[in-house]
Amino acid sequence: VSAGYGSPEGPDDGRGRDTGRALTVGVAGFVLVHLLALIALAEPSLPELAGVEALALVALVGGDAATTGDGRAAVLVGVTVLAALGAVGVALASAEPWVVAVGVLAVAGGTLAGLGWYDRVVAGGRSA
Amino acid sequence: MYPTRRAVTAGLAAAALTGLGVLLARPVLLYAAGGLLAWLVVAAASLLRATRRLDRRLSVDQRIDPSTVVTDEPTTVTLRASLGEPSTASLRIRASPPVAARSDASVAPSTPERSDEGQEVSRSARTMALPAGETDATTTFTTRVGVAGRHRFGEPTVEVSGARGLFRTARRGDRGPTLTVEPRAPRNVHVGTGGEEVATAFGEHEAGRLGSGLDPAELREYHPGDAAGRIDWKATARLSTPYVREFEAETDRTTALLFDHRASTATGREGERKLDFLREVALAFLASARALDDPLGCYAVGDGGTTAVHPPGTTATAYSAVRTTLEGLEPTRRVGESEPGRGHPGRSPADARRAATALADDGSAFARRLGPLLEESDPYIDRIAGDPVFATARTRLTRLRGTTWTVLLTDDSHPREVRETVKLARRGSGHALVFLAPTVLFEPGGLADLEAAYGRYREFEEFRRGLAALDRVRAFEVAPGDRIGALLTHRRRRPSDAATGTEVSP
Repeated sequence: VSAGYGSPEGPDDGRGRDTGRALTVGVAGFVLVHLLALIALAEPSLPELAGVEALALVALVGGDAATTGDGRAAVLVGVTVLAALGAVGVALASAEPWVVAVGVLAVAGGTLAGLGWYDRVVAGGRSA
Repeated sequence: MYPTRRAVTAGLAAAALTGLGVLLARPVLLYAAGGLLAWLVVAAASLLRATRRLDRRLSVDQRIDPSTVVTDEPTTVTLRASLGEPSTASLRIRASPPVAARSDASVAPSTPERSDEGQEVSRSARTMALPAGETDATTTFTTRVGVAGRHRFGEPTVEVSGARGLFRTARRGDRGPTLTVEPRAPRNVHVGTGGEEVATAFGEHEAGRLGSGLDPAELREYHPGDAAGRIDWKATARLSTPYVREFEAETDRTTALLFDHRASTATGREGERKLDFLREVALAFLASARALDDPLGCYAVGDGGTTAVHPPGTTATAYSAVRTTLEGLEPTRRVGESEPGRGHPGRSPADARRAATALADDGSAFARRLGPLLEESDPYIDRIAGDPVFATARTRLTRLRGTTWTVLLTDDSHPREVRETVKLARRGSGHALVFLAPTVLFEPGGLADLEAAYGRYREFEEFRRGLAALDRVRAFEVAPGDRIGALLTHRRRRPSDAATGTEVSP
């Protein structure tokens, strides 16, 4: 492949100006399913909730697979998101919603920060 | 690792869903937030994993050809990347030319990094993409550096983007090659006749007779009357008869450099003008005279007259003064020609003196600022109306006593004057060495039409031969070796010249 002038430069130019959509189809579908459930189901039962989450998960994993074209990565995403949903459900059963909310944000934020630190400090990553 | 706008949007959406879930007491929104955040974490971890694999399998090679150029000459940069196996991440690899590098307008495409197009290698010219699934990529661009020195290319930047476009990170490759940029100055100075280079060092000379000196010349048998101190005892012991050793006698030779730095010597590219080449020859004479302790004088002539006079001398100060003068010479403007950027003819020295006198009693800030400039108004030692080289030779060289070697450094723009000056210089027992810069070999684009250029060179050569035919005169051409080589190659490829015997030959 001879790249260079006029060659594709990917979905993002590295400075926040996406050439693609800000949200992928999968994420949009995932959020949309939850918003519809919010409107349609005032007090969802456990089976209803499981159905909603299953539908949202399919939307997210399907969209992810369509974006990456990588089936194995989609499976990994599905398993991880499913585990996260399960963890949230378990947490909600034993704690106040605001505690769960803070916990979710803290765990996700901390994990992302940890990955970023590892990339910069250990793996030698730097700003482009 | 840094998030893209897409990741930031997804994170904000998750935060908003979390807040709404708490405010509305609707746990379903917390599920949505948890799922989104998990997806982001997976994306970040996947990119990190892919990048770690790239670190081991990506090879980025940055080459330049040629690696040594003169200022503003192009060099081709080739950036090549290869992966051991396809990756899910997409890469953008950007070369890091030196800060002083500029893009070549004929090669570099659009999208400059800054608005001043052409002042910097454009981003797209030095960037190549290696999309996910591909294993090789190459890009080539041309760059020029206008500052002499050694310029090290920086590490190419490898930007890695995840397949989902959520995060990116970057790595630096190995240090790049070093580009050596040499200043434009006369190189490959050709001094010769008819395209043939002369090998004799400038200014070396012998007296042509034997006597006392330092360089051994020959042995001869001892004759009564020879000083005992001249007996070579080793030779005597070896040959069983007294022998004396003769030495090459050395003489002082007065050399006068007559340096023409009129406007016509400005022909040529910056640093490679006629004047620059002639200066190299003059400096060689200076070095030779200094080594041999020969008296050396120097007379510089501009369009308006004599600009520098250094009578022959053998002191270190005298040599140093000549060197300073030679190194500082620049082509003068033609008489009546305005200074670049000015719309009116130059002020005459008389006008300048009158103005300086008028301002002498003026204490204003304007007068104080202008006064020093007017004092420096006259750089000429002698103002000469016409044929300044000849006039300088007549007024200055004829005053020198004894045998003088006049070294005239000029071009072929004033043939009649040069011929008359040479005749004047060889009067009596004087010798003349003439170094001529042929205009055709200095004009930018002068060799575009080799046929026409060769014709002009032949005219020059006839002029040079005419000078060399004079008694006690030697005439040489001074030119860039590569350009005269191109002309000679052209000559060799023309069978018609060889057949008619009209080609230039030494």
